[in-house]
Amino acid sequence: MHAHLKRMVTIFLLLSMLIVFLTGCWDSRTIEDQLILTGIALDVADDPGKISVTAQAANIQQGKAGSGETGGEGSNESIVMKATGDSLTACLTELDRDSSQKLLFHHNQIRLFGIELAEQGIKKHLDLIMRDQKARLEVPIAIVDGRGEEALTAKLSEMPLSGLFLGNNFEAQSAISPQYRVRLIDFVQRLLDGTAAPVIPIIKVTGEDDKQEIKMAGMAVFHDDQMIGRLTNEETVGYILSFGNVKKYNIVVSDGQNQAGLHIATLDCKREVTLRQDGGIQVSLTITSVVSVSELHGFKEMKPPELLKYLENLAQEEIKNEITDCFSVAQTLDADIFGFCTMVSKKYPKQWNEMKERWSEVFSDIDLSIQVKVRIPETGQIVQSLEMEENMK
Amino acid sequence: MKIDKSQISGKQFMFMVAFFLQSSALLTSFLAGITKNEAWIPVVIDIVLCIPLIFLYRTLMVMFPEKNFLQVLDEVYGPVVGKIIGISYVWFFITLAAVNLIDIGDFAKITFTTETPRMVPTLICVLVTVWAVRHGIKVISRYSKLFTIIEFIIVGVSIVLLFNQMDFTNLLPVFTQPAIKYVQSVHIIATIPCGELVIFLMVTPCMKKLTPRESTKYWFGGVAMGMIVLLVVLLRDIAVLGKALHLFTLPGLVALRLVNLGEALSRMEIIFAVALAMLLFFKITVLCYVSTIAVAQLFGTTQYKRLAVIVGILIMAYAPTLYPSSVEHGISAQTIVPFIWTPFQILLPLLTYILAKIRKLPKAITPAVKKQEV
Repeated sequence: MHAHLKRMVTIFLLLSMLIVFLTGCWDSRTIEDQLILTGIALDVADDPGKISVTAQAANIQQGKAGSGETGGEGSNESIVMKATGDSLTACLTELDRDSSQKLLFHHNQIRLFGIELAEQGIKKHLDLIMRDQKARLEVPIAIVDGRGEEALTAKLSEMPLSGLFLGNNFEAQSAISPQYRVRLIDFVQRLLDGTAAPVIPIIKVTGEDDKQEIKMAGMAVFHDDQMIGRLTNEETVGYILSFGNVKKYNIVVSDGQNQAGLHIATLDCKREVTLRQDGGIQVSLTITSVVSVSELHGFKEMKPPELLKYLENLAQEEIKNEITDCFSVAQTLDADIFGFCTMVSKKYPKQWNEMKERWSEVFSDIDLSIQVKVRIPETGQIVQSLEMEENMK
Repeated sequence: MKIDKSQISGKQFMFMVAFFLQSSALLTSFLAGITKNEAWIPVVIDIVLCIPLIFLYRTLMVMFPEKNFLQVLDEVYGPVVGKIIGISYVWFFITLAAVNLIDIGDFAKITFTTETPRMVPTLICVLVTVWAVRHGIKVISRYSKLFTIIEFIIVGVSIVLLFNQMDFTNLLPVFTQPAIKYVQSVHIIATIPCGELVIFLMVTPCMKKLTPRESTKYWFGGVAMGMIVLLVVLLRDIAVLGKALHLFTLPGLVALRLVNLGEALSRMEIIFAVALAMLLFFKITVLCYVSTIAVAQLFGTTQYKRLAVIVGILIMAYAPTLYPSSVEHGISAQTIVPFIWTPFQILLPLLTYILAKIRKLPKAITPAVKKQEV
């Protein structure tokens, strides 16, 4: 009986202690006190040497927002706050001070940089984001053609929270190619590589007042952490294709009056670097792709079997041209956006030590060979187009 | 004098060794800081280099099957010198427990309970640890098999979740750094996870009788399981984080945060949290047990259950005095600790073995042991 009582008292005491220890009250946060951040943008401030931070948060207490101006179609669905300071910490402190709620970083969807800040360099502004446990490295980053704040204050008809829209949009784009969604960790890895040029998508806000849209506007090319140039949307295609792992992407091929829309089901690229006798680099890209026909105009003179062969050739040429064009732009910018230097450093570490100082010279002299093999196993629900059908009568 | 009367089987011992080694697999940042994305190379080298060390521990265990390591020291060096070395080993065990307690506090502080005072998670850990120690080695070891299997599952699941983000070319190039860096890394792994296994010489009397062959099997089985997990975790983190690996204090946590397999399977760092809490808790429990047994041995008492509370409090009070910050903790683990640990883990066991052989110890051999080959 005594032992039983002792045991009961012990269990009671332990349970009492658990109540104290397991509640975790220090780190408790009620949702009403949180401003759930959906996007953050960094820009150059009017004062020289300072930065301006714009934070967009979801308004979970519609109508009971803290300070700051509200965005969205009069529905108060987003809260946009701005602060200016010497550093990101100073800006975030100001934002916190001026708000009745705490900024919650965990669900941030996008990090944006204005183009002017990107040209000045963004490395020093990444420290807080990388250091803070609440900030996530997998959040995509993008450059705004203009000021970063424009994207967060944009009144989109599709979705009131532009941060959420951009997060979803980049997620959808990454299904086509992982290169479309550049996460902070990807950018940092390229930065640490030293010689390879980081690339970040550019977005642009178009339209006026309540009918604004956010469009993809190519890719920003960096040297170290400073933006030095850009690829257009068309040039970006070559960049994407050169890495392979492309799925569900459409290209248009044409030959005179004939035009075909082709749907790339899968595209893989095997990349290889070899040293040339003269000390230069030979890069071989071997691309294999499975494509289906999505639209045909013209090709009246052709019969289906020869048409498919012809389309395969056209697609092969198109893919080759896209990559070659993009490569020429990269050479003009003197920016190894393809990461060929990383491949050389891994395959030829000894030669790389000697080569890295003159990589700029080596890159401009790279011998790029592209072999493309396209297969078109299907043509959709119909084989020949109506125009071809008429010609066959 | 047998302090803890409970007994464990060879298999339980094997899983204890495996789990103990696995607990170092999640705190690899001090390795990554030296050899960066080549950190896997020293691990591979150490898998080979640690074979003689593990064989030394196994041999000491086989030579003195009825004695814990402090008793062995008494027998080999005599009561005075043996006691002096024994005191230094007690300090070593308690320091090891305190260092791991700091790790669990740091981990909680920088990840999930940032505003909770460090004292709270460490106090809870010590309370449960002391409770476990009071129940003896049998209770502690009973969980090791389950924990080891859970850890294997966690590592396996994390690899599947991160497979789409792995780039195995990140493991290249190899041997691009100065040779001294590899030597330093090899020394760290030899002392920090591998050499720490010397603590298992304290549980020898609690082992059910094993033949030398069984001892070899269980020692090396445990080490193999532990080292494979260490290597696989490191390869996973390098493949995912590449050149950014060395930037992070907890690379495994960052890697698992990058999981992105649709909306449902993303940000899986909770897996890391569960694994780390489980691994460190077990490691601290084993170290606390060993410290308690060592203190009991030193004072010649068998009442180790009462001592467990005191040792627990001592570890808890000692831990905050070791390092002023986690940065100094990390630097110390890279530079000073391997040298301080080397005498305890390599030199003294080796010297003990040599002296035991010279002095033809153990003298009083039971007939059962006599037949065994050492």
